Amino acid sequence: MIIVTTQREGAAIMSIEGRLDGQHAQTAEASFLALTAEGNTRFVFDFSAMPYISSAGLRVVLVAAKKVRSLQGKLICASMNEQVRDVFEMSGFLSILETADSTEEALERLKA
Amino acid sequence: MTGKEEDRTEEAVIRLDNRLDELERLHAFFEEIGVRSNWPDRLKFDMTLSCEELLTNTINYGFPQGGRHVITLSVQSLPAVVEIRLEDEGVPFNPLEFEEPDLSLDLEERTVGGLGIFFAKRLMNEFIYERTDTGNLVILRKTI
Repeated sequence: MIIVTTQREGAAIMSIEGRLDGQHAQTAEASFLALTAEGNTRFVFDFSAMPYISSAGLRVVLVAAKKVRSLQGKLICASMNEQVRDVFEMSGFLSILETADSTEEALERLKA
Repeated sequence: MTGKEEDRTEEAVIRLDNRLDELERLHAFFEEIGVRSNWPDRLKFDMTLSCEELLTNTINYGFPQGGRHVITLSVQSLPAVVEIRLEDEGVPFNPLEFEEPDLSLDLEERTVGGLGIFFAKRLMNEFIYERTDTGNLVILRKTI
């Protein structure tokens, strides 16, 4: 897994490229926390290149969502594939997280 | 006699160390058996996820004494069912006794504790736990 971070329209886009599993979760969490330490509060997690997520990966998303709330910011998870979406669904996370079909849509909503 | 049926049986075994970077080999293993056994993507995903969750638990909590330990995972893929056997020599741990996560809590109260085992139970048709003389054995069966 690699993480590509892009700053666009006042938001930090974290693109997860590869599997977000028990092996890579720590790295992803550290990358996210580094971005908050730099002062970012509005985030898009771009999952378009993430074929797989496990509960270790969900933990990172949950940690991020809680952190963003405490910062009074916003986090939107964008572009999940069908199988990844099913894992979010199974966990009940779809009802507590904001999702978008694409990064563009997420950025639009962050602007509002 | 049943030669034709037997031809469609695939068996594979992998021995993994109790380190999280072994998940790389776990994924490669399922990629390979998935191709050999003609598994649909969904089946491959479900089998991989269930095994990762159980394996991650064993790696993180099974060996509090530390040191290198081997976890054995075997797969038998038959035309109508896939069977997984996961064996370790870790401390006794029965995943079926683990408390189910409360999926209705709001964001602040949610944790991911128990979520991995919950996934495996949901995705598999059968989930069997056995305490062996030397450790733990989990058998998973998924009907195709």
